[in-house]
Amino acid sequence: MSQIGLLFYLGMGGSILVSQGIIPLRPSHARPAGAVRHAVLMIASCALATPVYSFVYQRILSTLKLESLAPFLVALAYFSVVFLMKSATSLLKGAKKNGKDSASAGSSIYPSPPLVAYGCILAASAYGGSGWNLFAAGASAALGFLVASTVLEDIMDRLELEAVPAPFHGLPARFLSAGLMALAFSGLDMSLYARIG
Amino acid sequence: MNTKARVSTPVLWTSIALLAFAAVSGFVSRFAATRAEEMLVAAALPPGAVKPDGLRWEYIRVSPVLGRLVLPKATLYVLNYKLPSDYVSAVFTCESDGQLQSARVLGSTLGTPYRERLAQVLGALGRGGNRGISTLDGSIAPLIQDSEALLSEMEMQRTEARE
Amino acid sequence: MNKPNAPETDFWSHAAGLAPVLIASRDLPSGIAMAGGFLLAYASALTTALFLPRSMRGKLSFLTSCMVAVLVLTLYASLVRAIDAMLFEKLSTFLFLIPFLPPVYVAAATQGTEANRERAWEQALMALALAVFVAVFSVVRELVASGSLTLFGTSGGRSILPSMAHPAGALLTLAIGFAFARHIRSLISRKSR
Repeated sequence: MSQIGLLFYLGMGGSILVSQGIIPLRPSHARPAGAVRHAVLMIASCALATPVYSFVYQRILSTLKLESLAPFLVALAYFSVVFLMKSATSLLKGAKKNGKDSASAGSSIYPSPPLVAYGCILAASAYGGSGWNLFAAGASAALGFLVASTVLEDIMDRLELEAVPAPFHGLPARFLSAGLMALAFSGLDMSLYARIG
Repeated sequence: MNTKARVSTPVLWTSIALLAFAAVSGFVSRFAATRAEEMLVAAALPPGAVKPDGLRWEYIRVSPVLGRLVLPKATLYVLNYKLPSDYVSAVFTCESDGQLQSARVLGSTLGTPYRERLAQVLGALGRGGNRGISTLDGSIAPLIQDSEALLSEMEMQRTEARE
Repeated sequence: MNKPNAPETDFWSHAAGLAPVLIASRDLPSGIAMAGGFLLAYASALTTALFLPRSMRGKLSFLTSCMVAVLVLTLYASLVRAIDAMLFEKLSTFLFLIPFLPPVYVAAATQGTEANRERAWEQALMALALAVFVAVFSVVRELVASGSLTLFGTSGGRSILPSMAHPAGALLTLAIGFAFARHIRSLISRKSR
C-alpha cells in the first residue's frame, strides 16, 4: 500500500489506541481542539523527519550497507529530540517550576509524543518521497487521526442508540466502524497511488 | 544530582554494551546486505540464466524502483509496487535507449485478483500479446504507464552518464 | 488515563496496538516474520527493564530497554534480509516500526521491582499469545482474500473477499475476531452455568 494510505490508517489506529488508554495522551489532546493541534504537529513533524531520514537512509545507510540499523538511528534521533524538547521546556519554565516537575520526570519521557513520532517514523521511511509526497503523507496521518477522533466518536455515540449485537458492543464496533471508513479511504488511496505514490 | 552520580559505573557499562551491540548489528547488516544483493541478482535474471561475471546490483530506492542490474545488452530494473491490497515485485527489461523490452512479476502470481491481472498485463508487455479486458485495467494502466516513463528516463540518464 | 480494562479487552487493545504489524501480515510468511520480530522486541524490552541494576530505574531503564529492543530488532531485520531479500524489502517499513509500537513501549516502561518480576510471566504469555495471534491472523486474511496460502503453494483457491487484503481488512478481521471470541466465551460460560 502507499505510504499515504498507511499513515491514514496509522493515524486512525493511533486514535483508537488513545481512546483505549494504550497510548498515553493528555486528555486535552483528545478533545477536538487538541486533536487539531496534534494533527498540525503531525504534519510539521512529518515534513521535517521525511527528508532527513530519506537522505540518511539512501545516501549513508544504503551506501554503507547498513540499512538494518535504520531503527537504531531513528530511536537515537527520537530520544535526542525528546531530550532537547524537555530541556528547552524546563529552561523556559524556569528553575522554580523545574524543581516541581522533576518529581514526575520518570514518566514524562513517554507521554504524548508517541503518536506523532509514530507518524513521523513511518512518513520518514517512505524513501524517495517528493515534497508533495511528504506533505501528503503528513496530511493523511493527520486526517486519519482527526477522522478517528471526531467522526469515529460520533459514530460510536450514534451506535449507542442502535440495537448492536452483544458481541459487537464496545471495541469490536469501534474497529468495525474504523475498518469501514478505512475501506472507503482505500478507494481514494488506490486512485491517488498511481499519481503520487 | 552531581556529575559523578550521572556517569555511574552501570550506566557506563550499559552504554559500552549498547555501542558494542550496535557495532555487531552493523557487521551483521553488511553481511545480510551482501547476501541480499546476491539474491536480488538471482531473482532479476531470467529463470535458468547463467550469471555473468562482474555483475553488480545497484540500489536506486526511488519509489517504486528498488534497483537495477546492468547487463551487456540490457538493463534489468526491479520495481516494488506497494498497492493497497497487495505488494508486487516485477522485473522490467529495458534496452539502452530506454525502450521497454519485457516485464514479469517476481515470485508466485497467486494472490488477489489484482495481482493476477497485473501479472497478466506485465507478461504481455513488449510482446504485444492478447491480454484481454478486465475491470481492474483502469487502475493498472496508469501504474504501468508511469513505470514505463520513469524507467525510460532513468535508463537514458544512465546511458548519458556512462557516455 | 482510562480505567483499567478487563483482561480480554486488554488483549484486544494490545492487538490494536499492533496495528502496523497486523496491516503488514497479509500472508503467512509476512505474518511469521512480523510475529517473530514483535516477540523478540517485546521479550528483550521486558527482560532489560526487569533486570537492569537498581541505580538505572526510571528514565534510564526505559531508554536502555527501548534501545536494546531496537538493536535486537536490527539483528532480526538483518536475519530476515539474509534469508529472503524480497521479504525484507516488503516488510522493512513495518519491521522497523515494531520497537516503537505501544505494547513494546509499555514493556520497556515496566519497573524492575520484585513484584513485577514475579508477574513477568503473565506479560510474556500475553506477548506469546499476541505473536500466535498475528500468525493466525495472517493465515485468515490470506485465505479469505486470495483463497490460497502462498507459503505452501496452495493454488486453485477462490478469493472470497479481496478487500481483506487491504489495510482496512485488518481492522475488520480484528473486529470480527474479537466479537467471535466474545461470543464463544459467553456460550461456554452459559453452558457451565
